[in-house]
Amino acid sequence: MSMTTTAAYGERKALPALRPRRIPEHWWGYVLLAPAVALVVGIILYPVAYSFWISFHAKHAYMPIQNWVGLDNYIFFLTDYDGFWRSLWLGTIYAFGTVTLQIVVGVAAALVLNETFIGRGFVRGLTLFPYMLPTIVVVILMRWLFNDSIGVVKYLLESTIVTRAIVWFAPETIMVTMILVSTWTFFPFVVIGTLARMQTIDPELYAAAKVDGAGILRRLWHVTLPQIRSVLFVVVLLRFMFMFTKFDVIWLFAGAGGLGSYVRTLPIYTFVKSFGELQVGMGAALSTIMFMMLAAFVALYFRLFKRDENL
Amino acid sequence: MQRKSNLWRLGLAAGIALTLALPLPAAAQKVVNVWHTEPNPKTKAAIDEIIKAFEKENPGVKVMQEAVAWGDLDKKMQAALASGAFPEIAHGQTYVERSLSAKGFLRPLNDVIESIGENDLFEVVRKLDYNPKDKKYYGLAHAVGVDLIVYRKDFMRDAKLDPEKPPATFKEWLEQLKKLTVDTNGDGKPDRYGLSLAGPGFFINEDLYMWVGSNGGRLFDEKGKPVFTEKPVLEVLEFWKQLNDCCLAPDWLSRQYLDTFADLATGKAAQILGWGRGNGYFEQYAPDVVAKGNIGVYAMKPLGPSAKPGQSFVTQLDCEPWMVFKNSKNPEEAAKFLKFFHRSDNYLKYIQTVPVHFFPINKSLRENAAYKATPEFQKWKFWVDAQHEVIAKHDPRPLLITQWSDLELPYIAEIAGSTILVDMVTDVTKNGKTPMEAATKAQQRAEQLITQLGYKKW
Amino acid sequence: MVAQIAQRTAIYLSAGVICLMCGFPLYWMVLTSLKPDAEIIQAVPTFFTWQAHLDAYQRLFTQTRFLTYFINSITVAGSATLLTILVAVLAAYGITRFRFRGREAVAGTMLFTYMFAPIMIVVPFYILMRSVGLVNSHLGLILSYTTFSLPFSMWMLRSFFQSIPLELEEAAMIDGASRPRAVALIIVPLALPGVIAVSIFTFIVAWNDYLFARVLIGADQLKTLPVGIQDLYESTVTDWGMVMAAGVMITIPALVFFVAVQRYLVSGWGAGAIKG
Repeated sequence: MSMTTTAAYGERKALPALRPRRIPEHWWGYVLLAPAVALVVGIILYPVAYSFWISFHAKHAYMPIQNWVGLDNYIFFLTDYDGFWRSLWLGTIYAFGTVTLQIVVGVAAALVLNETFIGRGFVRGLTLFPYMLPTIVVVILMRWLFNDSIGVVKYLLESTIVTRAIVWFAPETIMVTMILVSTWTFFPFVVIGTLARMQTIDPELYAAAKVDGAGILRRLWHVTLPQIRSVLFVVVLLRFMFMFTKFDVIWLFAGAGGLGSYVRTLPIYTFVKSFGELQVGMGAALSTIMFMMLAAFVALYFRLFKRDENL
Repeated sequence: MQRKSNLWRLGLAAGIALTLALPLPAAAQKVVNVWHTEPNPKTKAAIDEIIKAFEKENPGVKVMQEAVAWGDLDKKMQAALASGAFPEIAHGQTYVERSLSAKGFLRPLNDVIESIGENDLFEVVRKLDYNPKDKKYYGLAHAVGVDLIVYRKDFMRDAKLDPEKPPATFKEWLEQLKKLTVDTNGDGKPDRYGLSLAGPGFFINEDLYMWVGSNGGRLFDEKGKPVFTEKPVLEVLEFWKQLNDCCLAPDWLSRQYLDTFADLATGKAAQILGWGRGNGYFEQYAPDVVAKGNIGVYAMKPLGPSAKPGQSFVTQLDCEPWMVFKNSKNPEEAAKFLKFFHRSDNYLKYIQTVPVHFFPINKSLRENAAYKATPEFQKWKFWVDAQHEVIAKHDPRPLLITQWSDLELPYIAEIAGSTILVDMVTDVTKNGKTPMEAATKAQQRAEQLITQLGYKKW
Repeated sequence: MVAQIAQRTAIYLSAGVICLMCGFPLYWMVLTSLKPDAEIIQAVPTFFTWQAHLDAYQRLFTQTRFLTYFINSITVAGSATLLTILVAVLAAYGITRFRFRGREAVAGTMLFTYMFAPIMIVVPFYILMRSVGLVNSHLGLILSYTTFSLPFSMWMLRSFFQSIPLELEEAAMIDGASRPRAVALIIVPLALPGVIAVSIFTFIVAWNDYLFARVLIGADQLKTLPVGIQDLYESTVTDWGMVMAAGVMITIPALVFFVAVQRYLVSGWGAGAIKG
């Protein structure tokens, strides 16, 4: 397969186990994948399987009560209009709203950060700041900025642009506020992914487009976007899955009752069922339902957008 | 070449980091794990001090304290109980203690209580954790405290109200709050509200049961059936709607508990419902208000229109009990630690870390000269005295307990965590439902929940 | 010429907007941590303070175990990142360069794990960790965070590896390099932006996680930052100055780190050798 240079050979001699030749070529795929598969199966799939099994039980969170109830938990949610269906609706608005904004803001920011300008390094670093703040700090900070009595954002809006400022934390506005806050924290994820890919675009492509007389927008459309397509495909998919199952931001920001009832998405409702009402079986059934819905979404997504992707 | 050796170094570093992170082997001693809900650095330091003294007296026993925020305790407890990894000692809600003791999880604490002196405990403290069936105590409150109306005297005077006269009825209170809701900058909308309430579900549960109790009502009947559509409950919902329309900030639902303290400190609200530990907030952020003596506390709360003649108001008793888990590794050492902890010299150290909030559970410490000399009392004695009066005379109750017999209901925790009561209140105050509509829906949900849990007895 | 000036202006304006959007909250955090207490919750906020002091920082370092939490977070996040890169590079390479039965299925299944709400995994996860004796250890956390970021990391790297033409590797191997050498010397450097993106992602997963750290870690001396900060925030009186100081202390080192690594996002591009 290869001939090693003497220098490298000397180094590798001490570690004969690393010599690949003894193992048939097509096995290598399995060997290389093994550690990743082992971790995922052990640490995620086992709890998922356990949770799936529990979803057929009426199980109390800490009392020793666990009875087989078959599909009862699932059937209950079918007619749970104010609970399940409302949460599904709110969760869908939240996920679509914030993912769309994240992609728009993220790709736009990546385009800007891909240009050369003075202080670019600093701005790039700064852009990552919202993403690396622990969620709990984001929530404390945002509640602090948008607070209706002492919040500086309200003060700024009131003293400059609008006289009667928006109440950010009212029942009518909390969904918008949550979408904005989530976008703020998570858009850098999109920036990192797309910017990294933009870096690997061959400048000759741009040069060629320039020679052809393409303006900045046409270059964006014909060179940049097709190039970042495959990354965007994954990024959109991941962001949607992450936001659809997002728990901590909403929970820490609005809780489950009171104001939280206006942003009670499915993960929050799952939490209420298993940690509030202490009905773990119900919670498990809900997360299984969420899982199935996401799986259906992903299948559809692949069907619609995969086409010429080499994924 | 350069890159390759860098990769090797990376791998080596990862290996070392992983090795360092390996769990340390446990030493051969008896470990007592204490989970409590007081993450305040000062309190943690005081507990550490007590632990050190205890370990010195008891070689071979190691006490590990773990402070957990309230909202996380149930997650941790659930994981612990599900896996059988019980802590030796944990805080909980009183109704959780009842459920756990009914299932035989808890070690009776009669010996701990004897070491303090049963008669030395305040009546209400004994009532909390005493199980009359087998004459045993399965818990012991670490300290107590009551929820009271905290208000700004200067704003009362501004509104031509007597700052020392508490409102006796809901009606009087509402009128007072209306006068206290004012537009201070002349832009046509109020910027100081009569009252600021905390919005999270936990606090809505609190206010609801206290007001229902003060209105002569209850949440469950003799058989444990929810009775949310009874008149006293509906009246409270109506009262809440009126409060919402006249005297609460439009975004009161978003107010965290401590935001309400900020509101009082900055003059965005004239009254709040609060606990003693808030005193530190005022000292830190509104020292001038405190210095001028403008913070007041009423030792009573108003009664509702359906209150029975001669009944007392209902307010909340903050009273998380210590519980000792029978099936933990070292329950006996745990009880020993609790006895040591409640010895008055040690207990005083603990109480003094949050003196205005941690009201001692025993009468003798209340009379103790060293306790009375606590420096913070010079400014805040009125708050402590108000709590003493309510604890000694007015029979305050734990969360969601409008009548003491409710403590026996095995599903209070589930109702508290379910958002049913909270949704009922938001339906009336924010979603335009009538009290009857909202209560009917909540009633159905609660009955369904109790049935699902298998506790239906009616 | 005019068009070019307009374009430059637009770029600087947009950069300005990004700075304001991300920078103002940071500024406000720093400012709050430096303000005297009484100035913090004034109804009319001040945008600068002449009485800046470091009391909040002093409280943070003397009254709390912030430093311990900080070191724990660095250890856990750093180790998880290194481990993830190692495992994910192997897996992504295996998937892109070898044809074998079931590789699509494995890659797909990995992504499926993100469809399960973390909130439901946490209790069985704890039971599992307890049965293998990893409760109250950083190793348990490191393995978990590695696992949570693996599917993403693998996919990210896979798309980078795919964009690197096979010929480059083959050329190197014909020149006499072994396959591991070719991977280390050709593939990984060319995919460096991807590796950096993956490490940032993993680092942040580990740096930000609250739920699993809360359930798994009990001992105070093992707690990571998010858990430690939550406790600070929940304690008696919210000490806004101190909480903001903690936020600043978390941010500044990471900010420096990111400003430093961002240039590797550029240098990973290898002299026009890739078609894309």
